[in-house]
Amino acid sequence: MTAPPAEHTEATRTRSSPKRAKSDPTRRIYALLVFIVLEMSIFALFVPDFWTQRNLVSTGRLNAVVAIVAIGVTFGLISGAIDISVGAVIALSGVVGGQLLGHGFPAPLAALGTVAAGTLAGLTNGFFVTRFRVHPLIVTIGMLSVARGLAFVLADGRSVIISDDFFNVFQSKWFGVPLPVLLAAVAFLVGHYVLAWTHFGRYTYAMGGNDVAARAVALPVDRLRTYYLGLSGGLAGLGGWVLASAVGASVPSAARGTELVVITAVLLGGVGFSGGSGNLLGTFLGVVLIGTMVNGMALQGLGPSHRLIVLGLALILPLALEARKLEGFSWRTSAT
Amino acid sequence: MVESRRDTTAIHGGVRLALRKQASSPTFLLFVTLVVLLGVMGAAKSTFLTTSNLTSTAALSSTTFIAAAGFTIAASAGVFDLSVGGTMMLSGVTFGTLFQAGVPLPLAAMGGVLLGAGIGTVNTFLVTKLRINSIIATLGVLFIVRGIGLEVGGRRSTQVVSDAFRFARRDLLGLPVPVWGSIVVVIVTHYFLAYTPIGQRLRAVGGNPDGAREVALNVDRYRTMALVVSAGLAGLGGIVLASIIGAIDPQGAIGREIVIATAAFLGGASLTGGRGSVIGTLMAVFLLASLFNGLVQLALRPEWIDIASGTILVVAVAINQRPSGGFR
Repeated sequence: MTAPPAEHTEATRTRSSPKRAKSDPTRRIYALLVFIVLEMSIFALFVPDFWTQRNLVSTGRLNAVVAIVAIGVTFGLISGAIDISVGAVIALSGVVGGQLLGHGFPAPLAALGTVAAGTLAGLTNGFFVTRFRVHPLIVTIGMLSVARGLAFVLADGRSVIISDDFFNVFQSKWFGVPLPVLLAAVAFLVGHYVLAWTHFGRYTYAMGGNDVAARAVALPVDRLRTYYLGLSGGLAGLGGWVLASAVGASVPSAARGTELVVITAVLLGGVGFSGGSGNLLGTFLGVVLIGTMVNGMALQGLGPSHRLIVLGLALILPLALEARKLEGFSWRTSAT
Repeated sequence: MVESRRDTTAIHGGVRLALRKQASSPTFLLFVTLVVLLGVMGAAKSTFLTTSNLTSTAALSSTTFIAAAGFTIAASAGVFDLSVGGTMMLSGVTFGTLFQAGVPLPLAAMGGVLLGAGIGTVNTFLVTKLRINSIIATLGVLFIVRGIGLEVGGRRSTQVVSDAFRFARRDLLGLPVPVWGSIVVVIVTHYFLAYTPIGQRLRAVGGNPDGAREVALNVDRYRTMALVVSAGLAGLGGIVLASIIGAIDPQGAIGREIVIATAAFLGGASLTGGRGSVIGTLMAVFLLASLFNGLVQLALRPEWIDIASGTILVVAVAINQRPSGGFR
């Protein structure tokens, strides 16, 4: 008999590095739903202006950009590649749009330019990740600096007012709903379909969950990774158009720190940091929870300090609450 | 005769091998880049390569370096402390508030460092007890610490008019005090990380946690130590920063964690842990600071520094990790 005795396997098992169990996406979604209902009822009961059509519509409009961008980041993170660069890419693509308009290009071309600029930034991320094997976190931190710098250099440090009706289409409403909210809703539906039902979407789970196996079954891992990061950049570019259009200006300092809000929402929604798990419904609920929370607190007169604390807790608390499920978890100091 | 010739070739071979090893090390590449950069900047602008300009660059970047030394130690142990920028701010605020309340300077400074270590303890709890990925945990702590800073200190910075508080603006034996601080920190931390058994075990834990467990190293204990040291040094950096600007600034050091992480990765630290050099980090901090200084002197948009530092980061990591393969 070559099989080791039971105690031996037991010992090796507890000795190997304690791993975080993958969180169950369905459970996370139920938890988020319960939390959102609770939180919104509390705000609706105790904050006078919260449960009004006007406030809910404006909250939706403010968070539409975060929602759109979070879709791409979800694809990337599930496939195992985090994208931190989105905040700066939003600003860069907005500036590209503004500059194209300023140089007399037709508005549809300028709008296309924003998405193209974002996609190009995302594909560049993908190129460095797959060709030079630099970790996506480092590549996208680099892109965060580069895109922000390029935005300032291209705009010469100035914000430009945009007064083109086509480009500013996201200031309009359809049936009382702001167009950015509609776009975000459509993007979520399409994104969810792609992620859940198409090969292109399912491959994210294969790559994020087990990279070696994905290669073994001959998935073009590098090409797919480049596409996912390109998608993430492209959606950030779209977000840049929506933001510049809704504000009516291209601002090189726009969306500073948005990348962290987006990442927080995606992680809160149940996408694992190491990839392979999560879905877009979770991301959607994450965006809704953070958006309404920040809004309700702002209506209560709580300032940016509380907003930061809420973001921090949103990152840490779900993982802390799941800690009990970890292998060999104990509040006491472990022996190893 | 023959033997002696063989000896010399052997020696030459050894030297060549050592040189080749040196030439591919991140620290050496960084050193060459720094020298080239200083040369180019000096040729482009006569005011650049002056002692006063170089020392003022060193003094201004010393706070970043002191915190980055801690970040490097943590990264060597395989944990990443993104809360450093917030820790710098809150330690500085604590230091200033204590000082204004009449606490003697050394005690106030100690209070700031202790607060930093306290934040490190929170990080430690999240990472080693709750097993939260250190990047997520410390990012969350960064948000919370920044929120607390705004809550406690308000949004405006308060001047502290006192020569004792502004000790970091003084010179000591011809060099600014912060530069002396950096020198002490680089000697102590480099010796600690590169030459002491604890430093070696820290790197072992970072490079191969499972292997370290097999040889009965307490991985969590070393990570605890690394995170507390990192936060404590960030606290020290925050105190020097508060002293240089001479104010309590609850919005201070915003985004500093990105600069610090860039410098550490540039200096040879790796996202997979086990590697990291305080000397490399020191040179990277000085490189980024001189680049910024040079761009300002050449009257270019300071945003070019963002473009340059982002590009340098990615290229440097791509070069540094060639032997090990990198991200799959």
